Amino acid sequence: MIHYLVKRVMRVVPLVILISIVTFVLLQRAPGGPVGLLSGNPKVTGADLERIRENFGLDRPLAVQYFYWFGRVFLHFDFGKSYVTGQPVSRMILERVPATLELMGSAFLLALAAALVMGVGAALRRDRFLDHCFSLVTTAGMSVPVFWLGLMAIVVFSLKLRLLPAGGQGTIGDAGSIADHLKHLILPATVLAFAYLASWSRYLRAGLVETIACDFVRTARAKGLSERIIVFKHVLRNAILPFITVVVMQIPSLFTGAVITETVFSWPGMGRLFYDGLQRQDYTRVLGIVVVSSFLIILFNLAGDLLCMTVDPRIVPVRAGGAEAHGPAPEGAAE
Amino acid sequence: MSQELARIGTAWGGGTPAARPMPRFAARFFSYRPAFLATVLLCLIFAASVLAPLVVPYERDAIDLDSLLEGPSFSHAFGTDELGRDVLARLVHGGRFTLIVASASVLIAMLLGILTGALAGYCGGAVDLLVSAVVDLFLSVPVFLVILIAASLGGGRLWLIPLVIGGTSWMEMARVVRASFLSLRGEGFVEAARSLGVGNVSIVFRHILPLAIPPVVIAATVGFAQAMLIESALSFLGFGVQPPIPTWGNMLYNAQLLIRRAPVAAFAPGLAIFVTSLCFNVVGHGLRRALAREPISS
Repeated sequence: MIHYLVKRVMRVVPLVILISIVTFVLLQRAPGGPVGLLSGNPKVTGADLERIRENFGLDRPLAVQYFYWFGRVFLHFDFGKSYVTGQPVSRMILERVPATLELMGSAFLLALAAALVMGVGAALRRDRFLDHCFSLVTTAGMSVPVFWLGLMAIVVFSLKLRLLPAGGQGTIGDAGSIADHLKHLILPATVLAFAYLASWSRYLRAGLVETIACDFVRTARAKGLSERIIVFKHVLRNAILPFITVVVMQIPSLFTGAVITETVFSWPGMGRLFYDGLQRQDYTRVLGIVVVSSFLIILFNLAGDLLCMTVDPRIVPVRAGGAEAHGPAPEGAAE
Repeated sequence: MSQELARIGTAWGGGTPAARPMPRFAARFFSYRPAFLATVLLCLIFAASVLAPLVVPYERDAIDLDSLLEGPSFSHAFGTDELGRDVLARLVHGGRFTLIVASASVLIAMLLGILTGALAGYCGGAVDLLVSAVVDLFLSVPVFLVILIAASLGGGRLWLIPLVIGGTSWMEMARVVRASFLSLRGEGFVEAARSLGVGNVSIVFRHILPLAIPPVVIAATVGFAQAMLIESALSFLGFGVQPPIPTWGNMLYNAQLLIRRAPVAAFAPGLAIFVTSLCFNVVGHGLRRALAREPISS
């Protein structure tokens, strides 16, 4: 187990470094940067621009810049200073991480719970009315643009019904109360959960249906066990493993969803910070967020793999997480 | 071509070319009513987009300052936007760009996926490991963040967006193709071709690839829906196709700013995205269903 963990981490480190290099190089070619907005200002002379560039270390060769950046990140968790606000990027990110994790975590749990209920329900009532209803909902969930769903939720629940706030994390003046906080969380978390609920419950249904056809289920039926016990004690246990791998596999896309949901609902998380940074050409911030979120993703993936190994001791980590170790993609199992 | 089709049919379920597997397949596909409806709807959407100027009575960018942000009416079926442009007209024209971008993205993803998947599945060994590692890399990266960065650096150049979307969504295709190649490369007909002196390239593209096409088509159908969603998300965030060219995504970007005054303007483009991607997903499901129901012997 320890050996496996070490191997995984060794695979992961170069990955994060590669991502950081690619992003770094991409951003060097970007227009703007720290001097971008100032260069049009008639009061700023060429010498001033040169001084600013020197301050940020931008006059040095690219490779040198990267190594300096990498060294600081590695040794001090220092991503440099924001081009726009001058604050340390690491602090800006750390301030936003809890909000993002809160949103993603609640969406994740919500989607998981709903997927379990819908998946099991659909498998139990296969080809009946309930199954068709759920199938309709999940197909819709896979096709709906998250941001539009968010906008429509705002129109209906905030503007028309005035039940829930349209955005933000708390009402000014009432920010401390838990009820107010939850009220702000409901819409973004539900919207973010919707897309994942769809593919997860489909996947679970497919797995359950496949397992129900197995011989041991027939034996259990022959023994006279009730359908309920068969499904919950025998079938679900066997079908849950591929389900977990799929859930883990989709964690990166949870970050995608977070960028969009946070933007729509002005949720003060990392995704919004990223979007904001991109719009204002604050590239140190953008780079920092990419690295931190890839790191988080990889951490979650690792945790998921460990979970799988705990659930099913038969899994022997032969090759550290190959493409096919994750099982087929959710679409492949929809039928 | 017909020989190719016959070979596919043979692979799917046996039978001579005279048994004509394609019409049977089509019949099975269309007998699933949702897939039939979705196909019809998609044809309508594509036709409307292609024939855009003939379908709607207003010009795409015609500004009418006397009717800003109007609700739905007889003269403007979906109302007007903040510059008094007809939302329906922009919707139909926007369909063009949305569908073009999505098609190009899927084509690029297909090209990349087929090449890498075929390479990995056919060669095996170190090449396979390498490709799998790259696929892994792409699957464990916050790809959307990178897409956003790349698109924002491109400054909304139209050709860049399909390149970026396609370049980051080929992994599923590669996996599907790789899996087919892995199982097919040991078959007798491959050995026979090789013993006849057929070259590797020819074996890969003319002998194995046609048999690997059905799953690719399914992946492409579902991929189209996804490409559309990514494009519209990009445009919605302001990094996709730039105005005045309308796409369903950037129409939503504008509508979002004015959502309190004109909620209907935000409804229509999103609905268009939703319905189109829904149709693609349903068609993908129907194709998969029709393939799976192919009788083993007949």
